[in-house]
This record gives sequence, structure tokens and C-alpha cells, in this order.
Amino acid sequence: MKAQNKRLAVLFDLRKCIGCNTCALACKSENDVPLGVWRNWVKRVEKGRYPHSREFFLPILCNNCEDPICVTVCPVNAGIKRPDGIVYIDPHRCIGCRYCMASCPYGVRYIHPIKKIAEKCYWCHHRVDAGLEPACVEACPTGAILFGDLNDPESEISRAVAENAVQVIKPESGTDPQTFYIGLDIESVEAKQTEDK
Amino acid sequence: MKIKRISRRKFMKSGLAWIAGTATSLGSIGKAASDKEIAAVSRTSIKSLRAIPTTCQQCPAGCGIIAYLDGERLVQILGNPNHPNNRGGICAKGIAGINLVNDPERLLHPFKRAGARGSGAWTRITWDEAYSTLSHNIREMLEEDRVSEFVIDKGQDDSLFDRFLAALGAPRIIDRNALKNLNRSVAALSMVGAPALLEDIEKSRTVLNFGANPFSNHDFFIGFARRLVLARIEKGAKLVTFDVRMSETAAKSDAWYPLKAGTDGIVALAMAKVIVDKGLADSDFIDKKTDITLSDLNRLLTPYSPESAERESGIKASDIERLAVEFATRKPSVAIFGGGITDHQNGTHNARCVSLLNWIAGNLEKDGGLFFPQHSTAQQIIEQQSPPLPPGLRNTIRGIPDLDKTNIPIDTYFAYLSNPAYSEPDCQSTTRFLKDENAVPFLVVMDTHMTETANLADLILPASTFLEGWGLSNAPPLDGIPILNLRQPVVSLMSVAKALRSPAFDVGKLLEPSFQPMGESVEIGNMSLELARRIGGRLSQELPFKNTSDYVAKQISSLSGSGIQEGLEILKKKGFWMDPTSEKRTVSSFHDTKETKKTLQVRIRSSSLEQKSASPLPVYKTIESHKHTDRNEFILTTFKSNLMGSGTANSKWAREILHENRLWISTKVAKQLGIKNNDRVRVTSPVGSLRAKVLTTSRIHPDSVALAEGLGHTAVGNVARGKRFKSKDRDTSLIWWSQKGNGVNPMEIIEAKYDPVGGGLGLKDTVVRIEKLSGGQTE
Repeated sequence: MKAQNKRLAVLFDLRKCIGCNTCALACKSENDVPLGVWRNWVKRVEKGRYPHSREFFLPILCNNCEDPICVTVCPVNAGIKRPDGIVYIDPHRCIGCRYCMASCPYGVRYIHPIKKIAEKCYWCHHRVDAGLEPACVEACPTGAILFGDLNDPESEISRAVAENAVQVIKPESGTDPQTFYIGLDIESVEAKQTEDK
Repeated sequence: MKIKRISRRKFMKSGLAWIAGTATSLGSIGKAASDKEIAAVSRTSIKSLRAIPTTCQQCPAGCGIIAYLDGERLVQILGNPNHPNNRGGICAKGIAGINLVNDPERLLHPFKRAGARGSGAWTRITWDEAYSTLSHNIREMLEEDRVSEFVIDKGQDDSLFDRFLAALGAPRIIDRNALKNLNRSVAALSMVGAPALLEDIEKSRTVLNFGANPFSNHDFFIGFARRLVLARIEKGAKLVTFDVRMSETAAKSDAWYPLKAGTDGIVALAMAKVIVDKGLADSDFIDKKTDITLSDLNRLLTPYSPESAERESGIKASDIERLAVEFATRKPSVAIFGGGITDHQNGTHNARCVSLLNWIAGNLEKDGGLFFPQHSTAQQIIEQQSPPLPPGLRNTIRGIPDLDKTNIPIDTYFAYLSNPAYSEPDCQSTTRFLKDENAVPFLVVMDTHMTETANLADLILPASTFLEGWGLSNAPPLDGIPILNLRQPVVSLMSVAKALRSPAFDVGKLLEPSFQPMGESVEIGNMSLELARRIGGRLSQELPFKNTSDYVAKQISSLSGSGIQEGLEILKKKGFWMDPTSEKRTVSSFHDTKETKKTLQVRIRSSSLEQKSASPLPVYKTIESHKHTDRNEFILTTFKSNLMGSGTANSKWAREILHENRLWISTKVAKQLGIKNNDRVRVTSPVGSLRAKVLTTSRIHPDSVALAEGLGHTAVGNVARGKRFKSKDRDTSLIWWSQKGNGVNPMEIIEAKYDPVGGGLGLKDTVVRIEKLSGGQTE
């Protein structure tokens, strides 16, 4: 397995997402994410008028962009893009200046409330390096999340991307996101989260 | 495989929640058991984590889970990728099990009351003292022949505890799990002689869903949701949901039809009428397998025209007609239902009406339809090992209001993982009852947390969590092959040094991990064994086991003849076992047989209901109290998120996402009443009132308002109450939603109403009034 030959990506099949928040909790436990901040979450958006109303579930995590603006702006080179596409933050270099947070079009970064450094989803690279899938992918009860190598035409994700129309969030930001969606409702990207319960 | 069709009586006897006590064989077998490697690495040290397969017990689905330990600490719970039901999937509740175990607010020692009841003053006692008190009480009741004064309130089933109760000559038992599905099981028993049937949902092409929410809360939750999603997305099945509010399932359905609460029965009957009128009914099935003729059916359905259903439910007659035709022609089809239709005073009839749709379309024992629960040989042996409670002793009490009415005195009330002071309808009356020392002289609560009920107790016993004990259970075999699940302890792992000092230390097992429940918490099984030993006599003879692991080992060894050669070891390694002798049963065996009506049939006319002077035929009954005309009166419905479960009330991760329950109200109606989003309102029912914040939404029927269950705790823990506090867990000082409060408990205003036919609770029938609170009145 040569890492440089890989192009890792995540694909959400939103037709299969049931909005159960399992991915969010799997991440909390896998990465010891403190209360108040999230690396991934499920946005719920209500649309339409009764009785033709709908509700959309939109799981969000770091897009691990091909052209990550957060890495470009970092003044201390703490943001690093690996050859396989995973973008991560070197915790020893980060000075918590929040430039990356300001630059990220997706708002997926946060400052750790105790360590005071920037953190985000890096597709569980500790698991990926051990040949496993990210925790949220493994936990998803309906198999709505696929993870794999887009450079391998035989991988499940390559086939799903080839067979279905896929979208990314905010393609106009020019960062070339590597988290893809099947059945993305563009309006719910910008819409306000419906506080549900 | 030897499959025996079991009689209705035996099914009742098999006891426990039916899912835990039964196994079925569906006509189809999905993916064969896989053998994926189970591994995980530590995020910090990149070392492999210790992986222990076990079974989740937070709902009846019995998902296979893997607990990952970093050193001694439980750090992750994920689905068991080899388990045939959940196939590696898990729900948020399952992962939140980590919070349940590692909760700094857990109850870890036995306490006895020190001040007045409910005053909150406690003295810590030893288990020895607790055991002597309890065994003394029980022995006294036995000797004086008044075991009926011992009331058991159990929120979770445990096979050893059940054995204990059976040996005791079983007193009065409130079985919360059985009560939840009472209307459903009465309806199913009256028609097919089994408390429930299993849906072969993965192969269905048309699914009509009446008030069930399998994408958030279901008896087979993950296993079922996964199969339904597969059917819908990969096989093009159509899912149509009837519900008063847009549930997660409705949101992910091809169509959502909001209808007036409790009117699902007439919609189903009108559909049945359309199917019969258009000649689309499976006349062969009706003729051979049911006790009714097509012409009788015609007569029965005459009053239920789509137009009359429209008047009652609000669903357009044209929609009813179209969906009925689709249901009868786009096969395989199945109609499923859930709490949304059975938690009503007409719940049993509703369930029978929806079931009628399945019989008319002949969806029984067919791929993509419904299947009978079946037993395999192994399951029968397990049952002989643990004789369930005799039918007469189960389920005699439907909760505290029933208890209050009977006037049989109570000596000791024992609640295990049950919190009636919070979770029963009209919980304030329940609290008053439990607080009254004349009504309940001695209240014992065994729980993992200091619940509302524990606050009223005289004796509190710390229960271990499901991740700290042993158990054997039958999982619902969604793929047709019976499955046996093992639950084994995954916490707390003892260090070798500590294990060496433990009195239970065994040199032969030096290299095996050894576990002990946290603090002084004890498994209910072990508590039952110790009590039996102390009481002596027949009880100790009937429970001749050292501890729960010994009990499980003995159960397994009795199975060795039927396929588990390696016995306990294979179960410990895999977490579950599938009967290798079982094979795919051909669907045709049901339909090809020349059996006459006497042997196998669907009873549409029920004599058991006739005896209860209820209509023996599926009929629709209007709920009288819902015939209101006042536009300020609403039917209060409740729903349960998948983040709410018995074990997740004090889970920090679950409460972070769901800590507030606003009152759902239709945007249009709210506007007419001058209520805006986030306004504070007073919600008043005949039994009480509460203050809630409003969520105006287009996702609810205008006659209904909705509140999420499981919030608004006044006890259990600081997390459940939304309070920030300092503890050994860094996160508890980061609780950020303190200002928003912790929601309201709908049970405070829900009336304890019952369905006269099935006897189950009409939880979703309370009519409430809404009054806007002005700024000054807000808290």
C-alpha cells in the first residue's frame, strides 16, 4: 500500500441517512471530543408547508479538501495535507490563532476548550493507517457513509461515485472538497438548522 | 432444523419480552454469517485495543456489539460486524453505553433512608445489611403466606431474577416491557395466536407504515432500519407513512400522510374495502387460511368507505384508494404499525384493522411479508433451563394506578431499573402513592442511578450495568436463523495485582481478563442467588448456581448436543451463536400444505375479544374525548428519540444533542392563537399542567401537539438535570446547556387511560389546552 497513490474520500448517501446521530457519538468517543464542540454532526432542516413539508438530514464533517485553504493560511505550518488527502493539524505546532477557522468555508474546525488548539475531523487517520475505516463509517447503522480510495476503480466508493450523481458542499469555495454526497439538497446547506426536539 | 410450531399457550408461557424469549425462522436468509476481523487501534498510542464482543441490552433489538478497551478503560463501543442482525451497525444509544458505565454520578453503594421519606438523607450500609433486611422481609412474607404483598416492578428482564420470582411462588409483577406492547400483543394473539409476527422487510416492495418509527425507535431498531433502508434505496421499495407528526421515518418515506391521532384504524379499513371492492384481495388466502368468507368481509367493510375515512382522519379518499390499489398490486407488500396507533384507547382495534390489510393481501408466510415466530431446538433447551414465569403470574398489574385500585396490602415494593415516579402517566399521583408509607411500607429500588423513585426509597441498591454482567438471550433472527446472544462483562477490568488479591482468584485463569462491576454494584442475577441462599429452603434448591457466569456456563453446556461443541469459548470469542443445523425453510411449506382451516388460520373473528364483550371483528372506534371542537384543545402525542433510552438519561453525549423538548405545534394554528416560535406556554391537561417552550413546525397535524419523552428529570444526575458540575470527568464542567434547562416530562400531564380491549395504556390520548404565558410569567 503506497500512500501517495491513494486519494481518500468520504461519500454520504443521504437517501440512506436516518438522522440518528450515531456518527456524531462514535466520533465523540473515538476522538475524545469534549462537550461543546463537534468534529461531525447531523444538521436537520425543515422545509415546505404542511402537509407537503419535508425534513432533511445533512451529516457534516471536514471535507479534507484537495486544496485546503486552512493549510495555506496557517502561519506556523501546523496544517498538513498528507499525500493520501487527509488534512490534519500538528498539535505541537498549533498556536490556536484561529486563522484556519476563519478561512474554512465549512466551519468544521473548533478550538479545544482545554488544549486551546485547533482541531477537526481527520477521518480518524489513526484508524485508516491501521487499515480500518473511520469510526463514524464503521458505526453508521444503515451503511450511509462510504470511505475509500477514489484512485482504486474497484473500491466501493469509486463505484458508488461512478454510478450516482454526487455533489459537494459549496463547490464555489474552490477548495475541491473530498467529502461527497448523493442526494444533497443544496438549500439545506445554507438553511438554518431546525431545532428539533 | 427441527422447527416446531408453538402453541399460543406455550408462547405466552415463554414469557419475558417475546423477543427475548422466542426465535423464529423466516422464509428468507439474508447474508450468511460473515467472519470479519475485529480490530481497533488506540488513538494516542496506536496500540491495538482489546476487543470484547457482547450484547447491547438498551432495547429489545439485542444488537451484537464490540467493546474496545484501552488498558482497563472502555473507550469505544461499535457494532459487531459479524452479527447477522445489525451487521456492524450500532445506534447512538449503544455508543452512549460508555457514558452509562463511566458516569461519575453512578450509584455505587447501597444506602438506607435516614430521614423522612423523600427527604434525601441517606446512610451508607453494607450489602450484608441490605441482604439481611430483604431476606428477612421475604422470609417473613413466605412464612406468613402473604407473598402477594410483595410487588415487583421490573424495567428489564433477567433470567435468573425471573427464576427467583418463579421459585418464590411469584408475587405481583409489573412487567414494564410487556406493558409497553400490550395492545399490540393482544391484537396479534387474537388473530394469529402469537404475540407478534416478524416482517421480512428487506424483500418488501410496498410498505405501509402506520405510526411506527423504525428509523428512531423500534423493537428491532438497527436490524430493522437497516433492512428497510436497503429495501427502499437498493431495491426500490416504496415506503408510505401515516403519522400525526413527521417522524424520522416519515421524513425518509416516499410520502407522509398526516392524520388525526388515533384514526389509523378507519384508514386501514377503508383501504381494505377498496381492495375487496376492486377484486384485488387474495381470495385464495382468505378462503383457505382465514375464518371469514369474502362476502362476510364485504359486509364487515360496508360502513368504511374511503369518504367516511376522510371525514374521520383527514386523509383524502382519493389517496386512500390509490394507496390501497398499490398495496394490493405492488407485491410483496406489508403493512407495519407501531406505538403511534397502539398507544390509544382504541389501540387494539387499530392494530387489528391494520393487520386485516395484511390478511386481505395474503401477506403471511411470504417473502417480503409477515412470518410466524418459530422455535429451534436450541431455544427450547434454553427455555427448559430457565423456566419462565407461569402465565397467570405475569403481567397481572398494569402499573401503579392498578395497584392502587386492588386494595391488596403491600409489604415490600421492589423496583428494578424501573422509575415509575418519573415514567408512569400521571407520575405525580404515582409519586404521591409511593411516598405514602401506609400504601407502600417498604420501598426498595435497585438502579444504576439515583432516580426519582430511588429518592423515595427506603433501601437503594446499586445495580450493575449491562456491560458488567453475564447473560444469554435469543435475538430476533431477522434473517431466519435463530441467534443466541451472549452478554459478558467488559468492565471493569481488574489489574493482575488486584485480581490476585480477589477471593475469587483462580490460578488456572491467571491469563484471562477478570472483571468486576464498578464500586459495590451487583448484577440482579447475583443478588437473586444471594437472597435465595439466605432465604434457603425451596428457593436455594431451585437456584443451584454459584453466580451469573456459572449459570450461563450451565445453560451453554446443556446445549452442547445441539451444535455448540466448543461451548462457552466460541460464544465468548464471537459474542453470538447461530444454529448451524438450521436451514432455509421453504416458504411454500405454509401455502402448499393441504391443511384445512382447523390447523392454520388467521382468526379475523376473535372469540377471546368477544368474551371481553368487545367487537370480535376488526372495527374502528372513535375516541370520544377527541371529538373536541375548541380550537385551543389538542391531542398530546409523545415520541421517543433514539437518543433516549433506559440507560442514556444521564449520558453527556446524548444530552448534549437532546436536552430540550419543545412543544411541537402546527405553524398555522400557532399563528391563529398568537403564539410564536420559542414562546412559553402553559400546557394544561385534566391531571396537571406544565410550562413548555413552543416549536412551531409544519411537521405536525393541526389537531395534535407533541412532546419528546425522556427529558425533564428532577433526579438521576446533574447531566440529566442539565447542571454543570465538577467531577473526575473533564466534560461535566463543560456542560453548556445549563441555561436552556433540561426540558419537561410529559408524563406529568398525561392521564392514565387504558384501552378497554387490550388493556394497554392510551398514552397518546390526553387532550390538553394551551395558554400563552406573558413575559412576566416566564421563569
